[in-house]
Amino acid sequence: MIVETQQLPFLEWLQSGPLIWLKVVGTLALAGLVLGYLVAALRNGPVAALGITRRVLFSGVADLVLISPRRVWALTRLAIQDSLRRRVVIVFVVFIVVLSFAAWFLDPGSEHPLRLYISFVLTSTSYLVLLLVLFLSALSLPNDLKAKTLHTIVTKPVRPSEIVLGRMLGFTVVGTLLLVVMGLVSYLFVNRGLAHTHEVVQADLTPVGQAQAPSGGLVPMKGFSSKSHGHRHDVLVDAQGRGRLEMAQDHTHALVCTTSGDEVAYEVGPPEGLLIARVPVYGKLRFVDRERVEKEKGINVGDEWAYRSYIEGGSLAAAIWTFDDVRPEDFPERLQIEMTLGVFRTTMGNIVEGLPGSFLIRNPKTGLTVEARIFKAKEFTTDVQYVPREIAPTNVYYLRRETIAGKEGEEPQVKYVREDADAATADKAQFDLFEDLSDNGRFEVWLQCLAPMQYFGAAQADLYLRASDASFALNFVKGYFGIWMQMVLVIAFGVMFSTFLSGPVAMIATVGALLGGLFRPFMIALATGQTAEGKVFYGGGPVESLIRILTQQNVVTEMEAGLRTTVAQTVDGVLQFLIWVMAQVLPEFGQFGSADYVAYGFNISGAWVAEHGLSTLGFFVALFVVGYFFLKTREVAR
Amino acid sequence: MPNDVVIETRNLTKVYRDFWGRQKVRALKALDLEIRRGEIFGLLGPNGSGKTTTIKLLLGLLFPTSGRALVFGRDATDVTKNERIGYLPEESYLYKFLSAEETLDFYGRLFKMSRRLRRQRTAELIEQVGLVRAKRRQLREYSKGMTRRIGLAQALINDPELILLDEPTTGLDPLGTRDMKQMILDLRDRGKTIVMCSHQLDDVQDVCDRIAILYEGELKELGRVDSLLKVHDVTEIHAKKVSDETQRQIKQLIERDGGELVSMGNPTITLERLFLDIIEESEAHPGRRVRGGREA
Amino acid sequence: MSEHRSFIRKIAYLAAIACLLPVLFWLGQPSTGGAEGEPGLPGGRLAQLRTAEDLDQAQLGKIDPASETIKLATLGLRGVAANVLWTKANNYKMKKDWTNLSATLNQITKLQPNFVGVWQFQAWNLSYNCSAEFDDYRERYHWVIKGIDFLKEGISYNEFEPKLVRDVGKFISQKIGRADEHEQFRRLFREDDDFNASIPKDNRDNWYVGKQWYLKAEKLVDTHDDILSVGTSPLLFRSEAPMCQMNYADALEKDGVFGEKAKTQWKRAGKEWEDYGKLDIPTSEGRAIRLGELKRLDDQLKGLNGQLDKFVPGAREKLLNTKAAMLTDPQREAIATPLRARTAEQHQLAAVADELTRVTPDEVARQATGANRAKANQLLETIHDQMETIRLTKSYQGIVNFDYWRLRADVEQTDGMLDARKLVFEADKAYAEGNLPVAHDKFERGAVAWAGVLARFPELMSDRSTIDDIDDLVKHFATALDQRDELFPENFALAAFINFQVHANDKLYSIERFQEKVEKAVAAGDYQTARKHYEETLGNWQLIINDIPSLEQNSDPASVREILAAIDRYAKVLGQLKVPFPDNFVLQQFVWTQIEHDPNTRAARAAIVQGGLLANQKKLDDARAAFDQGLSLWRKVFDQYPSLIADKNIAEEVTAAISRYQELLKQQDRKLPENFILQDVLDRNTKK
Repeated sequence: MIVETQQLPFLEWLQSGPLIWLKVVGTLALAGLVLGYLVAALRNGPVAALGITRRVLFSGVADLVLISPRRVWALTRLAIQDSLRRRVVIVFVVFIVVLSFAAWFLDPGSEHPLRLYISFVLTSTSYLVLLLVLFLSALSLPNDLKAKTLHTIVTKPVRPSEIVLGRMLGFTVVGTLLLVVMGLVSYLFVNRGLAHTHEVVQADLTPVGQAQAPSGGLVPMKGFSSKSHGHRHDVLVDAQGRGRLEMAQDHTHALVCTTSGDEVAYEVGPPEGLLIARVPVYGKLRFVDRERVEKEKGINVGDEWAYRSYIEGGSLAAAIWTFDDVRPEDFPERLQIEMTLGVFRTTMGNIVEGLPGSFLIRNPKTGLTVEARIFKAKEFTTDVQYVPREIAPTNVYYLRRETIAGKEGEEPQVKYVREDADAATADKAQFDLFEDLSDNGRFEVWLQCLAPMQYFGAAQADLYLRASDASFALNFVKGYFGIWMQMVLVIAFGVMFSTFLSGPVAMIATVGALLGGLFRPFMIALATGQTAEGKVFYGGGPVESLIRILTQQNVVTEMEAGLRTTVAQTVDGVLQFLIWVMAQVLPEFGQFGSADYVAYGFNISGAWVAEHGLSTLGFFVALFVVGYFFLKTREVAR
Repeated sequence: MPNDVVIETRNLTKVYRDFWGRQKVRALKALDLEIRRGEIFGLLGPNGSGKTTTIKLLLGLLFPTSGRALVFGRDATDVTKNERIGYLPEESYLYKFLSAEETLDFYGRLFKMSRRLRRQRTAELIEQVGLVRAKRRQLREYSKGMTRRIGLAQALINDPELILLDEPTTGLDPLGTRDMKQMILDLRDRGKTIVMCSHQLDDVQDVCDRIAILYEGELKELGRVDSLLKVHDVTEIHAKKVSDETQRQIKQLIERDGGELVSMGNPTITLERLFLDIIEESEAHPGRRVRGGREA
Repeated sequence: MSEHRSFIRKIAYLAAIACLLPVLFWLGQPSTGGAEGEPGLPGGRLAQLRTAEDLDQAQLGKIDPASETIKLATLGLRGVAANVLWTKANNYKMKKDWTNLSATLNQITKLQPNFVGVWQFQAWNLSYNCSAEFDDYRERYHWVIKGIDFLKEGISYNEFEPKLVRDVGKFISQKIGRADEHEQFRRLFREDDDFNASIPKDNRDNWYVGKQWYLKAEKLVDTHDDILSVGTSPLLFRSEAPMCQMNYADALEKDGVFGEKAKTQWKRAGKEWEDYGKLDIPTSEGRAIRLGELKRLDDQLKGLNGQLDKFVPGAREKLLNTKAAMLTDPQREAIATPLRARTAEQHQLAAVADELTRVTPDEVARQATGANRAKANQLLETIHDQMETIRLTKSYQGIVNFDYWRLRADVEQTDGMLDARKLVFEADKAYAEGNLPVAHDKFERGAVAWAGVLARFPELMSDRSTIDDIDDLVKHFATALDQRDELFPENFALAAFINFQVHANDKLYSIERFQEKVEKAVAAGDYQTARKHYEETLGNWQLIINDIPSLEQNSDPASVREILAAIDRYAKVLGQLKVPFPDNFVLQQFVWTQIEHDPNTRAARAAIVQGGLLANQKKLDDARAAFDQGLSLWRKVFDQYPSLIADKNIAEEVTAAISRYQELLKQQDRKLPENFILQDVLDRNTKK
């Protein structure tokens, strides 16, 4: 699966994420107060304005703190009744119709049916729910205002904060109900859609090896199953009658043969390995070039999309994954490595066979390196390789880490030098993965290509250790949790905008804010002057670059010092900080969806859920406060 | 501020501004007012004279441009005061998809009331405003009168100490008006304070203790109704079974003292009075009724 | 008054609607299909037009509910949606996410089922680009088939679109037949039951199946010839099917099918090529030509020229003579020498001369006078027209190699060629199984068969694919012989072919030039330049051997003799200059192979071995006799191959034999005779 943004572990994220949130909220609160003060001062003089602002602040704090749950619950109930009444169930009916016609669009013969079904189901659910919730949240308050029903409420002892919170919670409850029901239906749809069986008929099987049955038992057979759902499996039956339908379209089937008299009945089990949620253990990737000098990136073979970088075959070049704190109990008797490699051939070479490659396991502390396994590369499919706990290596040596002076002016580089193992280790028959080859849970997996003139391509997420599997159902729920978070964001933005904008304008504003999130990397790049990958933008901030454009100066040369430059740069500093704040304010909406993980059968990590859950909460609270202040300063009975 | 003063305004002004802050309408100019507990206070004045603006300022629906409005001693914008206030707007804006019971239940929840008390008051009020038969039906199917009555019910759901009524009697048939006035008087008898603004002068006359007359946002007249309406140099006597002879002697008596008899004869009851008597009579004993003259 | 007026307005609207309705009905009524064949309602004017222009969705192809719903769902924004999907598809291809790619393609075609370009481009994209990305050839085959299935689905939507049908033919024949992995692809294609479910196992050859699709496309174009074009000129389009038939027959032979089956296939190929020749092919100049009629056109031209001459009797000869007179002597001489004997300059001179002496019909017509002049000019017109047609036919023939393939089809049908191919195939198989004697025999008989074919069809000598086939035969035969350490048999049937190849080699031309210079130098006694030229000649010979390696194994005895003769002459020149043979002699390897298979060498070695044995058995006299005999044989070999003296390994072998001979003599306390026959060899090697 392609993982382009790196997933921070929760604790690490904790230091940076909430800190930014506080900084941003603080700036906004300050800006709000100053703005309020200015408006008040404009209206009724600076001194009175001071009093007003103070009063507004105190009553604001009071309103936020003294929220009564009973009143909020009453308003939530009202919001729920209101939205249910607005035939929210229509959305559900549309969903059912879409599902029933889905069969036309999901081509059964696809290579990875799970991906198609899940991405279809999740995207259609999220579109429908988000649209519904957008309409509900953006139009409810303005309608109340237009119908003046809000007057009656405001004359009751109801704080504006309770009204806003009531609305938000109301729609969240409605959305959650709908999501839960749609989730259940989707789960059934996916299961039913993917469930299928094949028939295995005696005629399709041919005996393997010796012709007649050895001792009255069954003869090991080979053949293929019937075609259903656009694919067919190879069938393998061993002498004891246990059989298996080989991997096709990401799944296998169990096969039970029962012999009654001379008649052999084959009974095919349900598809296995289709609905999975792998728990990957990712390592940190780095490369070594032909002379085993450590490099950040491998060779680029001209792919437009530089996600994978390549290592040259038949040379010392290798891709190195470092795995940390791998516990022996996770991998009791063998290490299951799963990888999807890119292969780049410069010559046709041996057409029939795949390219040979090899795994080396290295102990980062002692440098002991063991050649664990030779394999044939399979492109674009998840290739499973097993490294036994007790490795009987074909090759043993040491790879010592050495720092050598970098070429003129560059900082020193790290090189790996090979030293032959001393006699004792050389003839040691077996090496234990955890005792000998890892330094308390830390070891390196080196991947090499053995075919000269050919290349292996790898990215960090391409190779991982597969510990136990998480339950697919739970993963499916987490997938829906992703949509739920997106829904909460839409509601929060919708209600906040609806407090001071009319219905349709509020809707457009909400969509604008959420789509704005997509340009977040660009805005951060503008604010910090360099992209995430570190490419530096020249030409300074907005004002400075404007001057450069007008004076037709090129981008790189420094502007000559002087009053104009310093003024421009200070203004830029403020502007860039504002852009930065703006970038932080807008949520990166796309990141909250987790459909890909579920579709590709990868477990959504707890850290991901926690991080995104917390940031959604952060947005919810911030937007609630902003919505409250807007509603408070607004005269309901205008 | 003495504890029996429920509402107090000190040169309360409200100026409506357009988006650019340019002054458009001076709705209320420096109103100073005090309303004590247990009285029915009327706010009179032609349309656009600032009556409704005053009510909304007292409720905190609008923010004063300058001056202060205090209710129960607290600022009008303080939401907690609403616990003890009931407000019947000119048209009651209620959720069309809720039934009467649900409406009252919903508004009841917004007050500090136990579930049992809320249930009991809902039933009481529905019975009191005579909507028992229609309590399950959604408000969208209510007639104008019924909507009015459920509006009144929701205003009284929290047994408020201060009730603000905006044009309570407009749009009601005489029967409804009578009930409304009777209800207002009952509330006052139970020690509530009522502020009502209206331009139905006769209703105000019947009910209000003190009135204030506003014109173009300014207070023109303030005082007790009865003292204001009394025509001091004219006395009015109502007597029954007065033969013609006695009427003549009365006429002489007045003229002897130098008084001047303006008029004497059978007083005419108001049409409203006639209408109500007939309706009450037909409510008492349905069926055909003998038409014709009547005695007071 | 006002509501009166609004009432009137309503009435007016109703009236307008009423009268519009029939017009609308007449125009827009949908045509309804009749139940079971009896004609339904033709429908309104628009429907009739649509059926006339074959634009009705029903005519175009199957009506697919999914694509109809999507078309409606996009509310008219179909184009925009398709564009968005295209960019997404390209993005997936960049990210090598094939699942999503094919899903997106599926959606695009649902949106625009009748936009042929979509089907063509994306099918090509799947079969050629995406399949190339995979490492495992089975996967590559799978994606080629996916591309073809995609096209088939396109055809279901556009039943009357020949482009798609032709593309299917092209993919099946070219991609599967010509890809690097064509053996594996053809095998997989034969075993692919899903794709070829309807085709019996034995004619699941990709060329055969491809041909059927091409014929289907041709039938489509023939039935709708007015509107549907295939995008390429009929010349190429119509040649596809016969070409497939040719390739089918050729592939059959490559798979080892010969005899009657192959013959019938080649016969059919020949016949189809003939029919193709009879088709009227429109040309860029507007006139239509027939490829097969070049010979008839030539005869007609001769007839026309003959008529022209009748108008002006004797004019042509007169013109010819006057032109010939103007030729220069060397030109005249160049024309005189036969083609093969001409030197390069002569070739050029002859070409110029021919050009000069050519008499054009215009010149002849100009001679005509009086009444004949008008008729002659008129005749000239038809002659020009005829020549133009011939020129066009020739150039169009060139495009599709018409002559070659006609010849090829005829040749392949002959029993000779069939036997030749069969024998070569069996020989290769036998060799692969290590059965050398059978292979050797089959190779030889194959060569004989090929020689027979070449004799019958000499023009094949310069045909590229025949040369390749024979080269393969010779190369495989050479390796087989090498295994058994033998040379090509003396009367090797294809010697003439090898010789022809040698002569066709341009280096031979420079050898001949050096030959002249050497003779001049030797005549003048200037041995130094003669030696230099000889070394260049021998160098060129080595280059020719590199081009035709079988020469080393005496595949063409004539050329071998020429080389050895050149070496002898070179040796004589060295003798004159009293210079020893240079060590790094360029043709060392060639000579070494020759002596290895020379009977004298074998006899010499046998004798020396015999001598050694006898010496061990202490039969000294017999041993000495055997040695004498052996050494004298070596002397004969050295005389025959003067350059051998410089060959180090032979020198070692012989000196070793001589030293053992000396030991033998010592035991009989004799000494090497004074005029020891191999003294020169001894001297050369002992010096070092």
